[in-house]
Amino acid sequence: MLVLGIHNNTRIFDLAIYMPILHGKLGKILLWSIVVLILFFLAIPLFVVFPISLSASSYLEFPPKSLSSQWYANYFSSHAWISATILSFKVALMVMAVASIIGTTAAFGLNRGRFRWKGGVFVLILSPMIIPTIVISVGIYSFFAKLGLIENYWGLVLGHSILATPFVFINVFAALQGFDRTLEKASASLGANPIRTFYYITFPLIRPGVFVGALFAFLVSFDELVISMWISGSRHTLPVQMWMDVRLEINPTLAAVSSLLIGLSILTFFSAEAVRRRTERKYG
Amino acid sequence: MKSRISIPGAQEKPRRSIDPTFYLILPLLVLLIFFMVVPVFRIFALSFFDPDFTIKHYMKFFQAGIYLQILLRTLVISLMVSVCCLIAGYPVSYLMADVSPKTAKILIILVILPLWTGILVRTYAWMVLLGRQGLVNKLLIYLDLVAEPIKLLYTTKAVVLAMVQILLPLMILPLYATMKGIDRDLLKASKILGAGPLRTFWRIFLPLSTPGILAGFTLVFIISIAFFITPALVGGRKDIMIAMLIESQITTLLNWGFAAALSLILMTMTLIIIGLFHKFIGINRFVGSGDT
Repeated sequence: MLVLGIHNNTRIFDLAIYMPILHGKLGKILLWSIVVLILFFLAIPLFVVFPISLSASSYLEFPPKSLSSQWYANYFSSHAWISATILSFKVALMVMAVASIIGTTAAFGLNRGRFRWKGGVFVLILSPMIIPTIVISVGIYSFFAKLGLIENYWGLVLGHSILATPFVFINVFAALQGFDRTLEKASASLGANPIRTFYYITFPLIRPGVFVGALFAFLVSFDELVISMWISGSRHTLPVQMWMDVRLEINPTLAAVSSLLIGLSILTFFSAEAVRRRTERKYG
Repeated sequence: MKSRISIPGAQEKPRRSIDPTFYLILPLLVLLIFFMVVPVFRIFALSFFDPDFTIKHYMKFFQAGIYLQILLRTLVISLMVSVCCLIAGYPVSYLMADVSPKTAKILIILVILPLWTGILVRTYAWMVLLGRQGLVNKLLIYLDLVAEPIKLLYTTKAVVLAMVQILLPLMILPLYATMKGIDRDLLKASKILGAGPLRTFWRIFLPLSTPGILAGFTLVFIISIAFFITPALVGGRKDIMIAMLIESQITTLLNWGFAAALSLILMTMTLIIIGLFHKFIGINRFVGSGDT
């Protein structure tokens, strides 16, 4: 009896006997509610910024008591904000072009080429994703100061391209990995020259990779702060302008800018998704 | 003729002359070597010469207690962030690997979407949320947990919270890739052999998901130790991390030599962590090919 009693007592602390309950419907519900909470946590900043940007008060109160569009008006009528936005767009579009071209050719070369040090080259190309950006940025700041590339459009393009190109490279390289080479051979055996084959066969198949990589490159440049902070000088990019603003005084203008930026990211994200989906339908 | 037959994945002997496809890589190599490798090595050199060879910057770092304290603080915050990301990320990836592909796709979108929003925007949102008049304080007062607004912004907690929110997707993605690749038949086999769900999870699923745990953990950790924007904006005076120290040494003190030494220390730590990871798991886990 005594032994049985002890036995029963210890069973109470044995989690395993509760597992059938946890693993059934209840467990599923528990897991789902935890996950929903975590996903909500992930998304919460996106829900906060927009209401604040519509607040009528200049304090950051949430939820806002009354609404106004003054912070958007503030943004659109401010020379500093608008010129920073235009500069960021100009830089990001150029970075997108540069990164797409050299990232795609590099992925192609590394996928098809046969030469020594392939692994080393691969690591070098991906290294901007691993080396802390603050370290790269300090190096670039000191080097660009020597070359006269501070407060210079091309300086920003070069600096951002270093960070943005690996994203194009990875996307295109992945597309090339899952690529059926017999299609190219078929094209060649039917008499097409390599350029024709590339244009009609290879490029259409890797296009989604290039496209998604290009969008990513755009966003990397558009959001880049750590390098721009040093080298943009008095011509601020948008993130630098935000950085200055947020350190000086917190007011809802920044919320308006942030809302516009979130809108832009969501737009880019879903265009990338749409491209991915279309290719999936087309090629399975 | 023999050498022209190529089997994918098989070792191919490099040819003597340079393959013309090499020139396709050249533009990117030139960009990286001239504008990243050279500048970074110039900085490293700067940390040792002033103008003659010296290790005074490193002596300063290791002798003045304050710098080691900042290093320790950086490591502690990064560790807290990585652990919190793992705890929050594991159930999400577990569910993602368990549900139908259609549901999984929606969950993946919800996880990746925040990643496309800039770090500055997300940090700013936390400043709004955690301020004295912020939503969190209002909620705490409404729930009668506190009598008046408490200080949340400019604390270590705020730094960890914001960084977890920013880095969580980077934990979930490698975890999910690994869990997706786990052979579900092994779990069934374990059940058939009489193991309960908890035992099956503990003895089969968890060990098999370890590579993903390590990949996510390493990724989040190495990004955390170099974090700059978020701790600078939501952290308190104590929450100085090494990247902020580098910035302030240059902007306010113009102490390039010491900033350079700090950069090399940060870089070395990053490389050691990645090296360890590569030794035990293999670097390709980062690229998301964990399940192939």
